[in-house]
Amino acid sequence: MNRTLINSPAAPARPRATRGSTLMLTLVYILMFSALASSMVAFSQGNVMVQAADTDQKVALIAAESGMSFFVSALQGATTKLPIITEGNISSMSNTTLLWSGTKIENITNNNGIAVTLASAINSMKPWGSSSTSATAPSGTSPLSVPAISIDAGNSPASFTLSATYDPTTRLFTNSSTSYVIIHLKSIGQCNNVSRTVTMDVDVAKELKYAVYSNVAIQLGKNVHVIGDIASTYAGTGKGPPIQMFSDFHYLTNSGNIDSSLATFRSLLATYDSAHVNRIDMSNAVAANAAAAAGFKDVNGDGYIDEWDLALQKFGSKTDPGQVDPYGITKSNFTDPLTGKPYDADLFGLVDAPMGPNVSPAPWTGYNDGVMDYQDSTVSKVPAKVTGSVKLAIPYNTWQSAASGWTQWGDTIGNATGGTFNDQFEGTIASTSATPVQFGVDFSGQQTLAPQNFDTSSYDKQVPSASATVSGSTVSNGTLDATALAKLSSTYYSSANSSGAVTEHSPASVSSGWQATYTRPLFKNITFNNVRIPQGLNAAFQNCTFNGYTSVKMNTSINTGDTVSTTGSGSSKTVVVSGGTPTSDPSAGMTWAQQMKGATFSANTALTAATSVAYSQGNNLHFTSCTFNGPLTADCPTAYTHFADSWEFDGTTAFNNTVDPTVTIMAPNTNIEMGGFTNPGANPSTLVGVVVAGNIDIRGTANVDGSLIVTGNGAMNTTLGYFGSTDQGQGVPKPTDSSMKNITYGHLFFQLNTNRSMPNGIAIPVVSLPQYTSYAIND
Amino acid sequence: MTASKPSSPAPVAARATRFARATRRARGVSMMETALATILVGVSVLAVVRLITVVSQQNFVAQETTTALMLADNLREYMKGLAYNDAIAGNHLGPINNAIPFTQWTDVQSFNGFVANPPIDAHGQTLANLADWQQSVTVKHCNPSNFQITDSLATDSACTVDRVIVTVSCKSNGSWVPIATTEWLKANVQ
Repeated sequence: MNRTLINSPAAPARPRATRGSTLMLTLVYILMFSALASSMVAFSQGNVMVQAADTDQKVALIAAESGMSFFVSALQGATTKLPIITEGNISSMSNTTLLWSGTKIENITNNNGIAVTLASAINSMKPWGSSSTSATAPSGTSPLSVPAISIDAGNSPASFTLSATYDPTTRLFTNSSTSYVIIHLKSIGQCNNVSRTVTMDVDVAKELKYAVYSNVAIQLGKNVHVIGDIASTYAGTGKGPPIQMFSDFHYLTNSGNIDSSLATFRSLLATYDSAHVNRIDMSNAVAANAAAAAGFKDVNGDGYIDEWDLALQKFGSKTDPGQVDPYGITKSNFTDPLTGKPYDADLFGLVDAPMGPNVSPAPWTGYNDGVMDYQDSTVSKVPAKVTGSVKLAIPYNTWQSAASGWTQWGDTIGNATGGTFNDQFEGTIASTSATPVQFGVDFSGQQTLAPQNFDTSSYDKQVPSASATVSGSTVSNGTLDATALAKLSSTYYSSANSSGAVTEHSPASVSSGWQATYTRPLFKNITFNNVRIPQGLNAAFQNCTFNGYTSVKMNTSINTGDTVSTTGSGSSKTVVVSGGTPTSDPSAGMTWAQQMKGATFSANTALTAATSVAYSQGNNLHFTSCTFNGPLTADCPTAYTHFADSWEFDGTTAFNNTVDPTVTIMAPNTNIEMGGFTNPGANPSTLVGVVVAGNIDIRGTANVDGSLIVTGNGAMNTTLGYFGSTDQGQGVPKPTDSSMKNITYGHLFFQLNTNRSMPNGIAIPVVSLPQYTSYAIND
Repeated sequence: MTASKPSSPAPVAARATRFARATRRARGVSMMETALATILVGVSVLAVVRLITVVSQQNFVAQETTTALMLADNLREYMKGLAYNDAIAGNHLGPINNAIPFTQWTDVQSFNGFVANPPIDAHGQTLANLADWQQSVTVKHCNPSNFQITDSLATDSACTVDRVIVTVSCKSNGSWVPIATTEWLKANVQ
């Protein structure tokens, strides 16, 4: 049948029906292929575009972050001189807008507002290359805008644009009396058509950056801890190590071989501690193996081996089981098995209750709980010698070269040579800074404190200018001049010309090395309320109490080439000086102080007002067992005079300043000896706010709740704490001396307290405090 | 039965001839169609294959770039917490001490000349599965008085901003081919 149909005449119609179907199918396939291809292209291009956009976004963000880094660096850089103000607090300024856009602030040339100096600093960097583009300093509180800066002109499509907005409203830091203003920084990164923005706030405040700042060499002895940064601007080699530190764990009697262990540990540090923080980093396998081979362990498991681990290894036990760091040292652990006494009660007190046992409320959990452990260091979990950074002007290589000549200051205990860096720089540095110990620091771009930065006149003005009133043993509200002295009975006062006068060396308690001898008027058992001690009094005060403000006067113009003459006659004869050229040179200051009229200077011959420039023009005072309940301030001579302007505090002298918490002592070019040489642990004191001295030695037990500033550059060094044999020239007994059997080493605790506002009268720049927690990526 | 049909041979032959002619014509059209279709399909397939190749290459490049940027970002992240320069030596370029592994370098400037192969992650750990990749770092001081120019003195203490350039390369035919470069600024911030 099919054949019939095929062969039928109707059969030719079929090819017509199928004609073109192949082409149609082909076209359909092509269409499908095209659609597929188009979608592939679209998909692929989408991928590429997403990837490109992602790249641009990343690059834009990196540019924005680079811009912020650049901005903050410019703000902190040496060429950006932040404005100097004399007010202790920004809120004390009458017009805080000056901080932003002011010029010639405090009438000081080139002392300009932040926006002005920042714009100038950025322009000086020529971030736009040879282009004439520049940033313009704004006026008032207008924002500072910085035109787009290329990351790398010609090589990168990325750029950033910066702006800073000033908020002049003053605020107080949390739980603080320090005020601040805010600068809002913005950096917009751009790459092709994509932009990203990062923002961050910078607080601006008047505050000290350092717990201890010194222009002379600093010595931190046994049982001295510092919380806060240390700055040493002394770059020379003539005064020993710019910062000498002595281990707290020396002089522990009958404690086995800890001194030898410390010496071995120092030799390991010399090889493996490239950061000079006196810790062995356990992530360095070679160092860790060497430490293990020497028998040392990371007992507290913090990733480092330091002196605290050595102490835990020697005396510690599991005092807090279940904690990450369960180890501590109890009082019974820390008891000499032969004597039954603590190895060092002062060291225990320094770690467990550095501000004394009676602080309420306790400043931290575990305070004075009878255990030395991780809780006693809220920052690093290690009771470190320095919890903070150390900044030194001296380059490390300079120190290394000089170290062998500094054995006098080096630790020789445990058969060490004393002539290496590690013998001279002991104790743990615990810091969160990327550069915990920094050498060769250029302080010109940072806060620098010289005597001329201080103006103490506002404190002197707190004391009336009239003669002080006298009522029995109370002297009040005025100058301790001849009129006032005439009213004091001999029970309380003996003049320098009387038999009750005191003739002694200065300093009085040293066995050798005194600088002069004085015959002093003597004040005993007197209560002074707001008094001014006149120039040339050179008195001895015994068992006296000073309430309110105490202002000490002295000749402020230390001159070279001046003319020395006398005035008056008999007991009122006194040396006067005239003419000459003011100097700030401490050597010239010594020469000035040793000038005599009608006599020859000798450190062994008692100076008098009739013969000595130092006596008549300066004020060398000796306070024994006195109590200071307010600030003690002095004039600021142009130069450090060594002994002419020098104060000594000994006996049971105590400081308990309740009048002005911003300052306890401000005596910028005065030499201060504080604490007995023979019983370092005898004088517990709390010095609040700033303590400013030309030079200061502190022994005893003291808590400085603020900052110690040593402005002078003439003294040999600032000695803080007990050093034992290396301090013998000053009459300090050796630990093995019989005189040390019943006395202690004392301890000193310095804690930077930025919650306490600064006192008025210190002309230093405000500081910028980047608030990294405010860092935000927008868009 | 079938013999009676050829009784009229002429119309049948004519029809047969027409049919044969028509069939031949149809056969020719199909061949033409098929040939044309083959050409079209062939061209299309070739184009698609070419397209696939290009698209694959684009995707591959995108993947490579993404990997390269990820590796560059790793290094940037790793260096983020480091100091600007050495606490003791101050400004420098390159490692202070070659004997110290990079994991103990404390500043960004030490990374000048650093090459990581295999590359490292943001924690400094080696990425062994990316052995055909490497990260290389160049650090340049920005001239303090002309930011866009590189300072020629490695120890110039006046420099406070550095340009950090990370180039990520992939091994191809035995040689390193740069895939991506990331550049940022590291400033001396306290």
